[in-house]
Amino acid sequence: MSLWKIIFRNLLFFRRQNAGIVLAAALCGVVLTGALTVGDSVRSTLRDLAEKRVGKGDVAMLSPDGFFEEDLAVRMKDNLAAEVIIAPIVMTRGTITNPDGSLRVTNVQVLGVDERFWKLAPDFSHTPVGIWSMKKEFPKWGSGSFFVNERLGKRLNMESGGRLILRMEEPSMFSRDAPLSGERDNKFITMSNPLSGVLSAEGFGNFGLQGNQREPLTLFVPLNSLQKKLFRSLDEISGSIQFANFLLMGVPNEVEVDLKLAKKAMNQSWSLEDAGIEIKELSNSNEWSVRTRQVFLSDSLAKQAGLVSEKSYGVLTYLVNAITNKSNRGGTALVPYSMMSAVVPKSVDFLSEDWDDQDIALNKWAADDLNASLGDSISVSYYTVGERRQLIESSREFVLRKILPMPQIVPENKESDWTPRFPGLSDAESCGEWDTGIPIIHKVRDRDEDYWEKYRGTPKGFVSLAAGQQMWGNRWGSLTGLRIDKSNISKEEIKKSLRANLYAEDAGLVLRSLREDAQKAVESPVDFGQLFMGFSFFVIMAALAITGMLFSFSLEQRSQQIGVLRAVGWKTKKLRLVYWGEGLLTAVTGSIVGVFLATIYGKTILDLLSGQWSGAVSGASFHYDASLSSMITGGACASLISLLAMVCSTRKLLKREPVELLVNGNIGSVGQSFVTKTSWHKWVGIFCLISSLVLAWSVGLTSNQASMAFFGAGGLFLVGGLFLFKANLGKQEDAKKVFSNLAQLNRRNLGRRAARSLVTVGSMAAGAFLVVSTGAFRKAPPSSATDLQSGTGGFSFWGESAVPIYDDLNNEEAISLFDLNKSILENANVVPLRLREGDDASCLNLNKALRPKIFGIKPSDFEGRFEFAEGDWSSLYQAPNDGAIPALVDQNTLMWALKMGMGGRLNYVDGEGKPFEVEIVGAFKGSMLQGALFIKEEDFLDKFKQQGGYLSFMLAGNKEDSQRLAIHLEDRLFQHGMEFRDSLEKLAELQKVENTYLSIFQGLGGLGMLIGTCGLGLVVVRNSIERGQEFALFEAIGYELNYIRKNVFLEHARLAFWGIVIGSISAILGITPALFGGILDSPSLAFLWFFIAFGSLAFIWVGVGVYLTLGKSQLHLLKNE
Amino acid sequence: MKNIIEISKLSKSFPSPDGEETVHVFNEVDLVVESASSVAIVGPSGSGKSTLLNVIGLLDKPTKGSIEVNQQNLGSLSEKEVAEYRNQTVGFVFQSHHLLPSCSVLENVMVPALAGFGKLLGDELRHRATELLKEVGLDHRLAHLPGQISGGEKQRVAVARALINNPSVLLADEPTGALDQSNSKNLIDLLTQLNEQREVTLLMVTHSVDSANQMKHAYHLNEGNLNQQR
Repeated sequence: MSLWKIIFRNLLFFRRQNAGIVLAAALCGVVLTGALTVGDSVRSTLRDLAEKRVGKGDVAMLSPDGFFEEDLAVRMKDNLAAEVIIAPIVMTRGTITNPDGSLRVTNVQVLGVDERFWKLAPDFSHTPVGIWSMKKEFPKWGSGSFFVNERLGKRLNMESGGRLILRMEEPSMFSRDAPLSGERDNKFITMSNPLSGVLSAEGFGNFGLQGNQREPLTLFVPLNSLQKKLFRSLDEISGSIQFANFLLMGVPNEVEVDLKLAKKAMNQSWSLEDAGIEIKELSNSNEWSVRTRQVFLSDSLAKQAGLVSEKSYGVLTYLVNAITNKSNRGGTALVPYSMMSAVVPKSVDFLSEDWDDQDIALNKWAADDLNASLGDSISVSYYTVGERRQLIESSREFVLRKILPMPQIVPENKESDWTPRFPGLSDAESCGEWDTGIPIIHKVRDRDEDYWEKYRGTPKGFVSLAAGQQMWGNRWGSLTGLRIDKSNISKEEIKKSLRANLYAEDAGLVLRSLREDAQKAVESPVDFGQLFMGFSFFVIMAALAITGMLFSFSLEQRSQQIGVLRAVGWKTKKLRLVYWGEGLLTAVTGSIVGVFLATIYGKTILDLLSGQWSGAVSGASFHYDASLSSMITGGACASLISLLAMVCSTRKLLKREPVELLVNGNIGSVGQSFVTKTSWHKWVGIFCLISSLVLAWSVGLTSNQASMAFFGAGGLFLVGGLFLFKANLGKQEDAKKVFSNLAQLNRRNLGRRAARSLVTVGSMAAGAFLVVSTGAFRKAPPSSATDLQSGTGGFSFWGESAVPIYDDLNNEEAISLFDLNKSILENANVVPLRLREGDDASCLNLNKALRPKIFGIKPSDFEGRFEFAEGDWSSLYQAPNDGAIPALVDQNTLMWALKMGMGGRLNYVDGEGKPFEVEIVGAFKGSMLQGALFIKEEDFLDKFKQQGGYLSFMLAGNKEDSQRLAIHLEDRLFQHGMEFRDSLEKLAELQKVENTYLSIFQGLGGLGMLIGTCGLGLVVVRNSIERGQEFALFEAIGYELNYIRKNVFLEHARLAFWGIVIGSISAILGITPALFGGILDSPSLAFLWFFIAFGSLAFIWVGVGVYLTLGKSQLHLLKNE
Repeated sequence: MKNIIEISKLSKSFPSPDGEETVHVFNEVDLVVESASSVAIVGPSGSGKSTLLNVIGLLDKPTKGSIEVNQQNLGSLSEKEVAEYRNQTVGFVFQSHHLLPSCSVLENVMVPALAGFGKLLGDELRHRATELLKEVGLDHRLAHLPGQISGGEKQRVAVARALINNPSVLLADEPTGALDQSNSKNLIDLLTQLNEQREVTLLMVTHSVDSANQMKHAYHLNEGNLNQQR
């Protein structure tokens, strides 16, 4: 007979016991594999969402802060494979309302697309131009149609055909933060079209750049319709409206567009026109002028243009408020609103080489107007743009060094050679039409109008470039043009040279691998497989405990058989092979069963995540998708740990001496003593209980440390309780004391297996404590949003606008501009934040945040607000030596989304396409600032020069005043899509994720504990079987069977009682601050139901155990024959 | 002397493991035992001696027939009356001592008295148990655990335990089966001495001819039939 045959015979013979072990191992397999399949399903769902989000698009080319010519798509396609589709897109944001204004959706992603875009959809037939859509009788895609995605469709809740009004900001040629950028207020454009249809995810409805399971609210507009509206101002300048800010590249089949090839094609295809660079032939000089749509030449453009020819020089032309003759010779007090240019003196023939930075040249018109003579002191006053677009008037005094002749008259529809196209200025027919964004405070005289009519923007004065740059240089550039001698170089040569030396990034073009980013983003920062394995810890432990107990119980029943085998010379190794081999087979069988049943567990978890636990996943729903590898891993792990549980529970048994085994493991039969020393247990227990109470008392219920302290106090109480229980066990064990009734004997029996009793009580108590007391860590928003150190930072409201607001809403200018009620702003103020769009790195996003959004803030606005785990607001001024930008981030975001520590770095690309690093220098504690990085405004502006205005606003002040202000701003800034949210609500939404995770832990932990109570039944069975002859004797000497049952029940119920009492008191102590302190989220009273269920099940299992073993008379155990 | 045990046409049978046949352990046996007498039941292994003793002690049920002990028909007893019978009327000494390993020698003796049928409690009970242990020569082992005393001593504790409620009948099922010759002799001497001194009826199953010879009467059970030898 081989060992395997013995194993199989044992398996078969002890099939009832083994069936139990198989079931327990199956439970382990169910939970482990189920948890892994939850991870698979979440990943698979996110992958599907990501695939539908990017469709067949592989690469994206963006101009984050500008626009390029739409035909770049055609030019790039010429440099790529024929099957590549490049879809030009205009991507912007807007607000949708219905005609009566009763419905409003802000921050809508507006996509202007054409048919090329739809060809890259996940399923072309579901696009507005696809067959499926035709069958659904969608109105024809084309001008006059609005399509929305499903999420926006749900928000609108509107039938097709209903009219929608879309409001967007007209894009400016350059940042509206910049000086002379045009009118102060945003320019809005509106489109009014009927809703044509709702696009599904398959029809590319979920297209977006950010990795997030929540698709954006998207409105699709035909590209040319949007271009006509958006770029009408550009049309006046460039004669074209065909601009885009985004190219989507892809291939409609399985082939992917290679990023390197796309980059090569981009570098080959982009033109200076895409970057808004023009080479203008000057009419009054033999020079070319390099200019840009953005007025101010970027540093890289200025540098490269300067390198084109040695005979080149920069020009900076600016609008000054006033030119005043300080020498006061009786002329006009001042010349208002004049252009003035700054040049390198030696580069022009009308200024001498020894021109000083204090020297000024005025043309004859200005000099005459001011009655100025050479040597006169001339003051020039001008506006610069300070913080938050605050206009700062400065002035500088010069000495009149030269009076230039009258300028040449500028022909109609022409511009001055010296002056770039300032928005709101260059096209003005008269000075009265100027809309430069600066207040007109000086009177514009008729003669000024005459000058404008004749000479347009011809500068009235010249200063040195150095002086000009000192006065008017800004972060957007310090030149408005670069002049190149025409005699040595042609326009084409300049273009070629510039094109050769400038990179696409210099034109603000950024290339991203959309598909790769989407795939990376799918790797959720939270591995739900591991997470649910952790949450299922108690269930797994319960399953393992039951597995181990059943197996041990099975072997103990066969201890005589084992004893005989040992007695006849079998080695321990061989015994292990036989019995653990049997265990392995049952574990594997159970695990296989478990793997098949894991679908139920996995689907149940996913259903709960879509329902009761949806707070953990921000309302996402998942489809079940188990991978083979997870099933194999789950099954193998379940088999292994089940076997380990069996090995651990029987290791000692298989090493026992034959004599012990032959007496069936009856402790006491071979003379063990039951007397143990118990006094130190008692004193340690008392010490722990007192410490627990002292700790709780000293911290108090309302302290910030209350949750942790009371959790500790609960833990101490638990330990103390268990020590006292152990001491009590020892006392009951003491055989020197003669019992006088059977109840005493029962209590002593608890001590017979002190370790088993202690483990039973300890695991019940510890489990109950952990499961219930983790509820103490539930987060609740602070009672007052105005507490500066709380998670809201004392801000009652946090809002966003769909389009930027450039002015400080607290200032007089903004109050006047937006017609704000000053009295409402007296008690509350607005703290604006700049926002660079990026991934949401908060716990609400299940995707990995590759490039979290960045807020640019003024640290002084936040001083003393929010609690820091590391660093503080001043850390933002501690820039690392290598140029990395210091940033603050919420601790949760740092740990879970970014998986970084202090000093961690993230890579970004600035507004000019140049990479830079952001270094984490501080972390807030549990705040509403989750999901983004916070850098100081100066750094933000340095990196994103062209992005103007503020998109995010916090309101400081008491709740009522802030609420009034929030309502007021939403009303006044309706067009801007301003929308505020209660900070407490926002914080609660974030905390809900954490709280839901705790609930899941408690739910699954509770389930584990309830399953674990089955173990108590097994303890009863095991004890009862071991003591079977004892009970038989009791019967034989006249004890009624019912009486014996009752006593065995009471004996073990005592264990359950102790476990529940110690566990529940510890747990309730642990959650006391949450229950009574009023500072934490009040836990659900479900814990009471848990205790009731826990206690009931424990007693039921004890009853079942007693019934199973003492259901019938045990007298047969006494019979010899 | 009056009869204390009267067994009439007592049969015990059970189905064979395959369920197809009936195995007769004993068939329509009759037995009358006088009060305070001592009776040995002998016979080969598997002849049903212990089963007969178990049936008399109500540890087992007969298939048919009647048993009267102390003029009480055992066939019509309720569960409670069965328990009371085992507790008050008979005392059992098993081949294995079946002492409670967690209880001291003294406590083991006291255990039957705690079943709730007798009136012995507290100090009185402890005194009686101590006296019994003194009687069986174990008064120096009162606080010892079963694991700490010898096999012969254990069996004597079992005898003391059987007598704690002052039963009318002492049933001993091969009480010397696990003992050596010397201990066996001592135990049988003790049993016969108790039988004589306490006038407790002793019914003993044994293999030992010597032990059987020390009893006043002897019966032989073989192939289901019980025959009086003496």
